[in-house]
Parts: sequence; structure tokens; C-alpha cells
Amino acid sequence: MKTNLSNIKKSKYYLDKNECIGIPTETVYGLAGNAYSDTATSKIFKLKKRSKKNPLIVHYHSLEMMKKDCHINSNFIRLFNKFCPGPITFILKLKKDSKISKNVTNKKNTLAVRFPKHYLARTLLKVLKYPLAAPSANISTKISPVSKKDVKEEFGKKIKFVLDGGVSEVGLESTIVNLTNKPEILRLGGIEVSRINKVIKTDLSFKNKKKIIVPGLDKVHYSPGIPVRLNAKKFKSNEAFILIKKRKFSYKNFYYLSKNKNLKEAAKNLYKTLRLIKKKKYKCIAVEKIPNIGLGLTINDRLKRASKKMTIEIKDLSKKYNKVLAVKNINFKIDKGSVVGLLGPNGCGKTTTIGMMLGLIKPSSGNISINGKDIESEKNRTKILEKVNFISPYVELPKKLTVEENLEVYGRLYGVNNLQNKILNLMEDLDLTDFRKRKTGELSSGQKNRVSLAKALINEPEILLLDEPTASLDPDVGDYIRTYIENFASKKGTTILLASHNMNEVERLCSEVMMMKNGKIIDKGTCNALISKHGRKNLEETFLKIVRE
Amino acid sequence: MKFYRIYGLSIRHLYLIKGSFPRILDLIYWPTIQIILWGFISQFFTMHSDYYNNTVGVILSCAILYDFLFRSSISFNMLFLEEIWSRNFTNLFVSPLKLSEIITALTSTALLRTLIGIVPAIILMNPLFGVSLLKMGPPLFLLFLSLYLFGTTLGLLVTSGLLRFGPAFENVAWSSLFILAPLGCVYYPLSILPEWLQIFAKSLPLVYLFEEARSILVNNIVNYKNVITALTLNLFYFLGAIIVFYLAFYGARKKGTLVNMGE
Repeated sequence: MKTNLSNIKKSKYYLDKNECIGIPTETVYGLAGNAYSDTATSKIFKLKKRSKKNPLIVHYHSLEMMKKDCHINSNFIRLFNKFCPGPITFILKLKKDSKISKNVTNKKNTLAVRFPKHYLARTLLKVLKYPLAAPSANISTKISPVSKKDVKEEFGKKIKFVLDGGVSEVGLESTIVNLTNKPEILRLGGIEVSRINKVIKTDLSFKNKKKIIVPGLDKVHYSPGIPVRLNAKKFKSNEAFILIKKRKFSYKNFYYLSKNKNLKEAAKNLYKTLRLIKKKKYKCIAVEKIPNIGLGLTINDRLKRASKKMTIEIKDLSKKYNKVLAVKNINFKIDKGSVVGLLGPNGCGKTTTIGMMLGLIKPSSGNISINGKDIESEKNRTKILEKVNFISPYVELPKKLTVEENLEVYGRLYGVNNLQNKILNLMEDLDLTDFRKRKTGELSSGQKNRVSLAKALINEPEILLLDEPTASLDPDVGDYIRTYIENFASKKGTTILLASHNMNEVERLCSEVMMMKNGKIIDKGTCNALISKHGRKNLEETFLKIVRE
Repeated sequence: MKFYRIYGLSIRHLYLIKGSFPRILDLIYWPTIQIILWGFISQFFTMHSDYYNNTVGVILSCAILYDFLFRSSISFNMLFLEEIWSRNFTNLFVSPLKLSEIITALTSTALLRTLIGIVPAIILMNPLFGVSLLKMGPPLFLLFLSLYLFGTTLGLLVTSGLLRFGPAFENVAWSSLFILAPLGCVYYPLSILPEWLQIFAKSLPLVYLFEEARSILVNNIVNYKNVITALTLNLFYFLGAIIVFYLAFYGARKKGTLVNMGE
């Protein structure tokens, strides 16, 4: 590729002014800024909406320049000679007199360094007097960009310039090797681990770290924004189907990463394909099994992270009211699309737990993470709540407003697009059309419950918290509500936490159950597993045994 | 802040007013009764008081200004109480609404509610008693702005109490303004108060507002120093009330009073 010098000059001009620009690399496009500048690196975090705890990779042109910032060792020299420039990142010890901005390292004494292979990136780095901090040019947790167009889609006019270098050759991020102590692989990437092992004559493997010490290790990452189903053999009509080998028949929802199981080609096409599918507004992505070898390991790693969307993770959660400990150090995790029951006697801490998950109650200690984001952060709270909804018989909608008015108010609060159609469809689905102009307070309990359900579904929530949703309803209405929730959850892949005293309801809806007593989770498992573990005939008897023990 | 969420919360209250004629009547009824009552009292004073004999309707004008203040404060409280009474409180706080959006929506809706009540009363003043508040000219706008800010400030403080202590705080909502009324010197000059009370009174923007209203009406002179002092004090209290509201919200989250807050 020919170098357009005017574009290199333009890039240098913006970078010298501490601006961020998009640059091509052989892995993915980077959002680059002067790594020595606090201003420029701060802008990177702000533009990417990236956690400050997540360090940045610094890109160098030459070893000489890098030596000013890092200590090197023999393993580094071997790997550098073999793979650089190329898709590999090294974690090295930072020199005390390094000029690297503290933003880049998260105030740690290590630095992630890389030598990109892309001709334009190298040409640009050569003319600069500083290295470039350049994480992938996408909003954090979203799909990495592999072309100028992708970067433009991600940031629009928020960045001044994107250096066009065509489509990234590798299409996946770099492999990250920690060389500060005993070598270890921190992230799978464009260079296979087996090749690294050969060079440094060891047997490294990849283990996911709990702490984020390098980029790309968030549990939720590379997300296309819709559920991803891995190792799929069949596909549904509303799903995009990602394939790696040519099929006899072709459908419009087939997307090939490769037609002959070529993993290099598949890696190159992965992000491009995910972006394309995202634009087509499919409800879900099904992915054919990808061989777990070589670059296939990296592709599977990225797809696994992409598939982990909107999970709930509760860690060491406690709530103390004065001297009463209502919730005691509970831990659980709910995966995307699961329906989990929360059972327990009155006053066991269910409502307090749900209250904390909704941000209504401040936990005394512990952490609630939804889709990898802490709900206690005021910044995250609004974004999380846009995707969550809640029903409880103890909470009502304004009685003096009509059904239609109530749905309009909540539709606007949740920022629902095409609201009038959405309201009409929900009213039709829930058999409320005849009552649309009636005041909510004038309706029967069953009708009110359906209006509350419509309110809870108005934003098509990815997470639904149900606190005794069918309490005080007659069996017919109760069954109607359960069936509707069941169908909605399976169609939309909604994650549901259901607190209920109705054991039949829990058995019917929930894939897993957690038993709570005196503020603690004392047992959990599938309904059948719990029934058989406690030697009872059904969930009700199991519940009574656990509660009375 | 997102406009669509502010609009969403605002229409929740506008629909409530729109759908109920007794509510509209209730909004208009009390300011009108105030005007009629104070209209006759001020006519009496005009005929029998040296202080008022040059100007008809000083008391009447002060009464309407005070009622504007009272309505802005009560309207703000009412909007919040409506959520508690209808047991809709939790639904609002689990939606993506931000506190700043709640404050903005309630503040603007409270203004609309106040205007629905007060505008007919202002219009009635002229044919009934020959008094036009609009004769005060542009300073009237600044006086209204100041009163509105102070009313909203009180509303914010009362709702902070509701958030923190629950519906039991409701009684304070109704009586909040009456506590400050004697010190506000609505119908009499500051000099009437004992000297030690004047010190407290001067810390309230109301004193400057009503002193200025009387000065404009009696002497036809505008002292912008009073108007600016009132506005500055109001802004100061308003910002303080916002801080109290945020603190009350975080206190309520800690205490767990946001869950199932209702009658």
C-alpha cells in the first residue's frame, strides 16, 4: 500500500495537539493518542467510555524508543525477534523515569507494549517523537473495528481524523504475553500460543484472570448487542447463522466466516461479520462450532465474551438495617436468558435483595454487577435501568390515568422508540385494547395486573425482576400471566429473577432455584436436583423441609 | 438529562389534571377565594388607613404574590405526594429517571399547576376591585421568578423529608409555608417585627420581595437592590435545597424507605 504523506502529516498534526485519531493496524483499528500526554490519554478513556482500571497498550516504532520506558529481558528479545512487528503485546516492567502517562498504566509499574506491523501505523510512529496509546477504536465492550468505516460508525464526528489503511489483515486483537515474571498468556490473539511456546521453549496456556490487568478481559466484551448462541447445530428463522464451512443450501441469514474452515480467514472476517449482522437487526446470533485449535481458540474466546450479555453477578452482598442483618453475604450469578427462582419464607430478605438489584436500596457491603457494570455507580444506574423492568403486586400504576396514558408515561420514561405502535401491540397482546381509555383504578385485579405487565414489558427488558407477580390472582389470570411471561422470555431471551411463593409457578418457569432463609442463600440448583437432594416429592415439600430445618 | 424522560414524568401529572375537572376547579378555587376575601379587606383598609390611602390594592397585590408562592410550593409537594398516594413511587424510582430529571419535571409541572390557579385570580382582580397587578411592570416578572424559586425550594425541602422519613412527613408538607409567613412580612413592613426577629427575617428573600412590592405599589419606585438581594438569596437556598434532596435520596436508599413507600 502506498503511503499518503499528506494523511500522515495530518495525523501527526492532530496527535501533536493531543487529539485522538483512528489509526489502522494489522489487528484492528486503534484509537490513538500521545502516550506521554495525560490530556490525550484521558480523551481516549472518555471517548471509549472505558474504565480507568483498564490499562492501555502503547505502540512503538522501534526497540530503542521502547527501551526508554521499559526494562527488557531475554524472553522478550526472543519473541521480539520472531514476531515483531506483529500482533503480539508484551507486558514489561516500567522504568521509573518513563514519561508514560499514569492514565495508561492505571498507576501500575508495568506497561503493555506492541510494535504494529501495518505500514501506515509504522510510518506514522516513525515521524512521531512519542509512542501511541491505542486501544481498539470502539466504545468499550462493543465490537472492535476493522475498517475506517467501522471507526466512523463508532465515534462519528467525536474524533477529528481516521487514517485509512484498508481492512485490518488479522482482524483480531494481539496476543498478550506477560513477561514481568514467569511468562504467561493474558489474552489470546492474532498469534497462536503454540507458536509462542516454541520460541520460548515452554508450555504456556491461557487462563482467564479475575482482575483486569490487560485490555479485552472483561467478561462482557466484543458484544454485538444481541444474544449469541454458540456451538449451534440448527438455526431459527429470526437468527443470523455464522458458519465456517460451506453448506449445500444457502439462506439469506447465513454468514460465512470461511467456506473451507480456514481459521485465518475466519479470524479476519469475525468482527466484520458481527457488525454486519448487528445492522440487520436480528434477534439472536447462532454460531456453528468452531474448531478449538490455533486461531480458533481466539475466535471462540471472542465469541464467548460476546455471548455473555446482560448477566447478573452478585458478590458478597449484605444489607444491615440498624442492627438487623437482612441480607447476609450472598453470592450468585444469573446467565443471559436464564429464569431463576428466589424462594424463601416471608422476611427472609428476597425483597431487600431485589431492591438492591434495582438500585432502590444501598447495600451495606458487596457488589451488584449487571452486564459487567456496577449498579451503584450513578453513571451506570440509568443505562442499566433502561434495560431492566420490575413487577410487584405491592407497587401500582397511577389509578387516575387511563391504561393508554400510563403506558405512554412509562414508554417515555424508558425512551421507547415508535411508542404508539408499541403500546398498541402490547395492548392487543395482553387483551387490553377494550380498556385503553378506562382509568387504571377502575379495572379488576386481573386487568390491572395485565396493565402492570404491559408496563414491565414496554421497554422490552433484557432483565425482568418479578416479585410475586401472580400473588392474589385467581388461577385463570395467574396462568395467563405465567404463560405470557414464559413465551416472552423464550422469544426475547430475557433474563428473569422470580421471587414467588407459588411452587408450581417456580417449577414451571425456572431453570434454577435459590433458597433463601434468614438473609442467606442456603441452597441452589435445578428444581429436580433440589427435590432429589432433599428426598422429597415436589418443590413445595422441599421448600417446607428447607425452611423448617 | 434527557428531555423525553422529563416530558414523560410531566405528562403523568398533566394527564391527571386533564382527566379531572374537580382537580382543575380545586386549583382555581382557593386563589380566587383569597382574592375576593383580601379584596374586601384591602378596600376597607384603603378607606380607613393613612398608610394605604394613596394606593388601592397593596394588600390585595401582596396576597396574590403570597398565594403564588404558596401554590408553587404546595404544587411541588402535591406532585410528589401523588406518587406516594398512588403507590407508584417504586415504579418511578426503578425507571431510568435521574434525580435531576425528577427535579426538572416537578419544577416545571408545578409552575404550570400554579399558573392554572393564579392566572384566573389575577384576571379577576381588575373587574372586581379595579386593581391590576400588571401595572407593576417588568419588576413583577422578577418578583414572580423569585417567589417561584423560593416556593420550589420549600417544595424540595419538604419532599426531601418525605423521601427520608416517609409519608409521616406529609403534615409538614401542608404547614411548611405557614411557619415562614410571619417572618416574611407579607402584609406589613419589616419594622413591625421586634428587632431580634428582624435579624432572622432578613435572611429570608421574602422580606425583600414584599418590601419591594409595597415600595413599587405605594411609591412607584423600583429598588433593584432589593430584587437582586432576593434573587441571590433564592438561588443560594435553591442550590442548598437541591443538595438536601440528593442527600435525602441517598439517605432513603440506605434506610430502605424507597421500597413500597405508600399509604
